[in-house]
Amino acid sequence: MKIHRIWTILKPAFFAMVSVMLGLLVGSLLAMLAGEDPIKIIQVIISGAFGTAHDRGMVIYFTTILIATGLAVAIPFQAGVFNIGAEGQTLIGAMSCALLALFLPDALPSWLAICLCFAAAIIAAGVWGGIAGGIRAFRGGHEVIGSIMLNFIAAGVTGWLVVGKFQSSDSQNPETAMIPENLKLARFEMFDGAPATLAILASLIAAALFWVVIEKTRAGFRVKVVCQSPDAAQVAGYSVPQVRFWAFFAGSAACGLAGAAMVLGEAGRFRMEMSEGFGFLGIPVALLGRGRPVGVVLSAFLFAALHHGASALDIEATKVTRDLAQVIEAVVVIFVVAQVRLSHSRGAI
Amino acid sequence: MLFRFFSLVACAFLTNSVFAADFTVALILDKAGKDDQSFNASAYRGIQKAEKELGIKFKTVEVKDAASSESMLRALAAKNFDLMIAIGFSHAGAIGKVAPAFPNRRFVIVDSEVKKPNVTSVMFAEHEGSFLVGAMAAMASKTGQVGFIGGMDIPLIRRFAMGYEAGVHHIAPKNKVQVAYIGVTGDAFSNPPKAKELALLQNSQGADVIFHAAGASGAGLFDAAEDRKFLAIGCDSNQNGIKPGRILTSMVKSVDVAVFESVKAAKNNSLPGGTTINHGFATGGIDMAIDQNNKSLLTPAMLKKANEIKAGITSGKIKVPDYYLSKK
Amino acid sequence: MESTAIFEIFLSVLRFAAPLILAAMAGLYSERSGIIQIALEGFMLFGAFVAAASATHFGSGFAGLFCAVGFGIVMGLFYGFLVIQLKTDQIVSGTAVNMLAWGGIPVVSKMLFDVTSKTPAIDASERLPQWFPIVLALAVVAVTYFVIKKTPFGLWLTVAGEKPEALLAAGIRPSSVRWASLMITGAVAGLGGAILSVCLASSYTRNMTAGRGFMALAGLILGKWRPIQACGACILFGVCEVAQLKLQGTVFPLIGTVPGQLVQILPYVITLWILAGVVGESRAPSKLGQS
Repeated sequence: MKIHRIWTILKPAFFAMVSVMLGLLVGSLLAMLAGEDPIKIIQVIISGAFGTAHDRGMVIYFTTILIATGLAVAIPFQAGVFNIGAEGQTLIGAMSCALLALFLPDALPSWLAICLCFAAAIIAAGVWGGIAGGIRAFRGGHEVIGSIMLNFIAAGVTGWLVVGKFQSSDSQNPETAMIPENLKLARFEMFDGAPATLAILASLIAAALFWVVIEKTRAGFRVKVVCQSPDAAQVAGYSVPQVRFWAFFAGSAACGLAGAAMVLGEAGRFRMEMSEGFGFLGIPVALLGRGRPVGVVLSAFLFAALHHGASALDIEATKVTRDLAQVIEAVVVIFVVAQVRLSHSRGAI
Repeated sequence: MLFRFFSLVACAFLTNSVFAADFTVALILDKAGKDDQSFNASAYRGIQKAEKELGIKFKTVEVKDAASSESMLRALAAKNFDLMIAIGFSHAGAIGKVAPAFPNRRFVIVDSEVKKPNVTSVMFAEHEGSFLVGAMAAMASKTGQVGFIGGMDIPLIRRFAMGYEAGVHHIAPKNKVQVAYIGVTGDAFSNPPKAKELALLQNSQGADVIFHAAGASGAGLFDAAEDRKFLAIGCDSNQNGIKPGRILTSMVKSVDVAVFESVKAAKNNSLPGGTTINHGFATGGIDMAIDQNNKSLLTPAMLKKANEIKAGITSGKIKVPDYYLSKK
Repeated sequence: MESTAIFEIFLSVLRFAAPLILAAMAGLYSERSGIIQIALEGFMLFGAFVAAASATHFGSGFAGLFCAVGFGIVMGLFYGFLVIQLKTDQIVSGTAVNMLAWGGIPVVSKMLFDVTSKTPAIDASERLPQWFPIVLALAVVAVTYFVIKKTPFGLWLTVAGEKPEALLAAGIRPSSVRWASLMITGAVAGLGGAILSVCLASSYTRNMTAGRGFMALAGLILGKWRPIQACGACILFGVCEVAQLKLQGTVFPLIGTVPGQLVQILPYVITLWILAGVVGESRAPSKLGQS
């Protein structure tokens, strides 16, 4: 392999690393300004993320979710559309999953019931996002605005369902009743009770599927053509709206995995606002991963570690809190976006 | 670079908890934080007192949502804290999961019951205190209408509302009580602008005394009371001093005392695990605040009535409806 | 009694709408010039925090507003640096600004006040009066209407968003127009956040804008990027908010109680409908997001 070919592969990874380093640098400078020892802050974040078996399990759990919400942004991006509605799609997916889990007959075998719950989450999330995708593809309404509106509507509808219809009678929190024990995903024992489950496999499979479709199939080729040049796609006889719609649908459907992992893997129920922030985190995940499947998985892991590791700041640091992580994330996004100069209308990611 | 990274990881594993020898307590607040001038603030006062008088060390954390509450509690338990005090019902689920995993650690939860051998639950008879301030509101009202602003429409807050209404009707059976809730998520306890709008609406419809059970959102009610010159009733902490002369009284829930007492008991190794401690008028855990800020607002007749009601409730002569029981 | 109560409700609606109206007007300047404004939420949150913190520091509500406007302009320039200078993707950059606000404000608040959730309360004597936000918001709508309809700058804005080449032909750099519009956006959105903390409440509380920036964006689209209509759309949001508060616990014959959450999402559903072209038509500036 020639040197420049290796460089084309490694360049994005290199720039991603540089952005993350710069983000951490800005974060520790800010911590220093607050009167903390910057080296200690980095140590706390790292040990917070990987210090104990439970911490490592939490990172796996957050990785599961962030791969899904990262894909939710990355997949539509391939077709030149921007999905900012992962927050609402995750909520709808989680709600459908929990409701089905609550009302499925007990007689069903657990594996079948769990598969049905996953399917419900995936389809519901896909359909929900598909509304915004369809409005963009077939009627020309901006998908970003559409998906933001759908975020609000999802919050309202799930809020009404949980408080007004399915509120757990033995809880003060706005949440549904517990789903049956046999539908909860088994947690890996080595992680000391952390919600790391086989759901991670589902997320990885979704990422792999994404790779296969984009790189190896005709459909993937169409998506790429639509992204690079909608005019050329039209000449070639592809339906640009169709491609855009299905890309948006597929991306949103990935959020169903996040919702199912939350309900079946972690909470065991639907909890109001349970998607808090993870949907939006999908944007930097996809961006740092350059919209590539492997990139999304790696950056999901990185953001998961940062997200969980930073929560140790609340305990170990006195002058900064976990909010520092969000600043670091924002800075990473700014550096990455400044390098990539991606414009989704032109699709050059 | 890579070497540096690994040495960082290695160092991180070696850092120990700063307070090894002292008795250490973690205070876990809910999202409104220690400056809510209400519920969380009261807990924070209690722990500060314990630090001063008992010489313990403590760490306060604010938990934003139910999901992070569990991993936070777990991390604290793993970090060798001797006692973890969780303030607020939102931590109940997390305590129920974490406490069994750390049988050698002690936990206290305020406002919720968790039946585990190493958890002490602290409950307050909010309905009794609300009954008392409800009676005061009815006596102070000139329009014959009073209001109630709750944070979320959940059983705990309904318990306040039900007691309050009964208290109002104890004095004036025909008086109208307007009941409203701020929102449907935990944010409702830290949303003063919306509380203010609700208060202004209730006032415009004739309520001239309004009681809140809405944590940090209560600030909005006080702002409205000040702007429109009506009376407000504080909650959880003694809030009379926030707007002197505009706050009729406060229904005090002595979370501070409960926190202090449980730290003290835990330090002496006498904290009863697996039990529920109930606070009411009898224990002094619930009371109404009387100080120089509201002296001029409370008439002698009201003070006399207050004492009658307290004695009546303690002796069982006055029955206060309890939402928790009415549901069962 | 009845008429005063109705008047009260009317004022209540306007108070709810005021921050939205300001933010929508802020968004109008940048979107008309061709720049998508997802960052309104972040701008508002920064405004709310800066206003509350500086009002406590200087002991004056007006000082708070002033500082919020100043900081808003700085943020507008920062956003401009990203999307005009570096030509980065506008939606991603806007999201980054929002993340910066969500994470950065608690960090700074912790430094200044040792707490992440709330700034110290501002005394009533220093708070601005209740009518102030309403008057301010309506005044900004009037000024915006005038600027868009009657001034050359308003014309440049529109041309920058529709046909930047034409502007260039007339000897005006579209990027200069956009820089100016982003400064105005930052200032006005900052003002929108500021009135939230120094007029409608007495301190900044964590994440107090609670999506108002995104609501304003919806209002802007509902109002078809025109000042008066966008203002009307924001008032509709206020009506739904107040209706939700007023309808609590009211039992209607046949329907029973009306769920507040569903009343609250009504404006978003309408916006979505309009977006889909089901009712009415809403056309965005044609160069929106592509500059």
